[in-house]
Amino acid sequence: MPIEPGVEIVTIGVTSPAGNSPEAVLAAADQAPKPAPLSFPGREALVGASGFSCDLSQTRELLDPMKTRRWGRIQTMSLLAAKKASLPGALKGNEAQTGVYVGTGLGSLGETAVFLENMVRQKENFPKPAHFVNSVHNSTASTLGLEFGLKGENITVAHREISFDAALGHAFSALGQGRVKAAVVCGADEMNYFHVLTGLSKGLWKKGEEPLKPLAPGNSPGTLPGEGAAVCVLAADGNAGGESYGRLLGVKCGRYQRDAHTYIHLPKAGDFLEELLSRAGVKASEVDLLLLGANGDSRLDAVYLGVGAELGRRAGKDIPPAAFKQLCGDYRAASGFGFALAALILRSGRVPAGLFGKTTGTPGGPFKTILLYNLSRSGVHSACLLRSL
Amino acid sequence: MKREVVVTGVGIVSAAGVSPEETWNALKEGRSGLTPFSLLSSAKYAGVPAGQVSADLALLSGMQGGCRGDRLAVAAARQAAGGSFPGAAPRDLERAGVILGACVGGMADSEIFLQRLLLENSMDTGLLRFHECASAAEAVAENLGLFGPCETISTACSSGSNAICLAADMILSGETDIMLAGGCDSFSRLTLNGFGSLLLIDPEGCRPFDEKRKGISLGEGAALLVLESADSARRRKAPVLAKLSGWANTCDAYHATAPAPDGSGVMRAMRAALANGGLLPEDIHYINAHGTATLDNDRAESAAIREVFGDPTPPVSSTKRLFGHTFAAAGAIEAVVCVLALKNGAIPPNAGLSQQDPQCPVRIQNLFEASDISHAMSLSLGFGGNNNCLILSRDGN
Repeated sequence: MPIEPGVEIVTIGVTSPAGNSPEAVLAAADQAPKPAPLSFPGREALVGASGFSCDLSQTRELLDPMKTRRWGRIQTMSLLAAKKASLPGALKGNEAQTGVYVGTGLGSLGETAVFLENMVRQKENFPKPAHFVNSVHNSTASTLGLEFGLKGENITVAHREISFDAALGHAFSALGQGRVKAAVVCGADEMNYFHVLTGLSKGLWKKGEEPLKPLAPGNSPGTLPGEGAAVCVLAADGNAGGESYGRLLGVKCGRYQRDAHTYIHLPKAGDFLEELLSRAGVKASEVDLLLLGANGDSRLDAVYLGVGAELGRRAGKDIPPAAFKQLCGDYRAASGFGFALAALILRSGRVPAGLFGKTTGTPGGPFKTILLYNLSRSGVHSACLLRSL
Repeated sequence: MKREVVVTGVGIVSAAGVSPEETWNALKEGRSGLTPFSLLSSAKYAGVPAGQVSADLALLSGMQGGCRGDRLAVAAARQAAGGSFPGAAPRDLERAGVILGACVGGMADSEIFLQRLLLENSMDTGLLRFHECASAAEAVAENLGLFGPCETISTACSSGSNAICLAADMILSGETDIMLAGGCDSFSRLTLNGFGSLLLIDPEGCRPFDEKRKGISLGEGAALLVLESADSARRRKAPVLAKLSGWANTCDAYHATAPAPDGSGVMRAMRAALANGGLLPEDIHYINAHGTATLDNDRAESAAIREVFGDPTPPVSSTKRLFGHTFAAAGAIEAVVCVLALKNGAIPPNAGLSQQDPQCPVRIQNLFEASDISHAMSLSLGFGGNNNCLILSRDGN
């Protein structure tokens, strides 16, 4: 039997504002949810923004309350997503050789804020050690390791919008080099007033409660904050049987070169994507769908569409662009949600119409090869290539 | 055939010195860089022994902007790259990248933001500009014109050494030929109060492996290594300082902060790194231990070393008394110590020890000693049971 390229996407699980199951996410994808006013106890006046939050009401049913009371929000969201991804069953007894790879831009912000608030108010007296322990960026990765007995590599990448993609890249490499038998990859970030204020300071948020419409014509500057956790299990061998979501063929991260007119130097961005495709043995013309990290900010939407057009020029065809942040809001590790959505599309063979920015001329597919592309204003970008079986 | 990963440059900025030469002199003399803490206002920790960098970081880094951590990183990166990778082809430089361990980023500014918000009801969100720990890696890439991978690893105290492992993997896989890898962290009141809340700060300064040790001394700093494929080093005629022979990371899956008492996780990391480098325990001539001077760490680490190496173990020293515990920078600083030990043919001492803890049954290196070492091992342990092992070797071994 010929060896399949890449690694297998064995299972996925999500905790997201669009729902906490693949079915719920696909159902929500046709009709973008409306954002809600954000509420941070005692801080309403400071924030005054809308966004997308996760519903964690299933926590008590699926996770041990004795444990969740000691965790921060990001840990709870991630463990919930891991349960939804059928952990530990999906690992088939390989826990000791399973690596954990987490991407989180801002880590356990809530726990950090609680520790700092207490430090300031109590003038450094009566500190709360549990909040400090949870405040480290790798608290989610270590909790995943601890809860499921995962003793392989344990890596956390904290690098803005490419956090998840870079973690995915390390998992891909570890599987390829045989350092682990399976990889649990998680992209997670929680909403907190710190996050919302940081965005406010940069003028990132839109006003009001209209749904996000990435890639749609007539967008204004700004986006809306969100949060979520997505977990997937990857394996080098075919241990998913017929249940696999597809294959990950490659991941690439790097810095982009800027251009005064198009923001990002498009020919270089095209080279970046073609290098990933070429390493995976895939031609640009084989890409059926571009799933973009566009967030409804007119300035960034234009950049994403420019990169898509550049790849289309090289492919000799229009590659349909689609977006996902209207479902989860904008947060650092949102590409983890995008990855889960891409895997769902591959398995279902259907792209919900709501993912396309244009309201007319929805492409019909087939959608067998998906390229996920993300960029950060800070100057880094990333891409992941997935293919159905 | 497996690609060889070599070290062709090192840069280091710490309380013990702001260059490899100054650092080596401090190691030779066993001179601690710990001084009474005064860098940030702190009601509780003013005056505790701490590894603060007193040099002018704007001058060292050539940066006017950025947070303190960014400047530490850029200063160390400039040293490591020897300017800007002399002899490298433009295409190689364009593909070169940076991967840094970082934990706190501009947290000291975020603390001021919060203080003003809570006590004065004023909101200066500009102070949150450097909240994310990703800014240091980007500052390094920007300053050196690198367009390859640019990432930040945040696995607590093992971040710097994990960054080195992952950079080596990228070179092995052929993704890139040259990577700057290491770690940086600056002081914050979060870390001071955090470790203080765990009762892990020794008011007398850290004493690794000592019977009377009471915990760590905090520090700040940055260290970066230029890792590259041996072919690339040959092409640009870069001097090879050492070879990265083996590396591995494991997770204890035991406790959120404490290491597994039997050292089983770090033991697996050592064995995997030895196997990865095709080496046997007897090939290792020096171990730079994580040696934080907490009761749990030193005992667990000693148990692991004894299990892997038997009795006697190779000479072991912790250099934390010189630098303080610099979190994300620690593993990278200690990797640079190993490179310097290989290059200079000597083993640095374990400063701060009076009476060895009998529950740490390893061969502690008490004095600076000339030695013809071929392979040195550096261990790093972090919160969450995160273990890392690096093996650095003299070129030609």
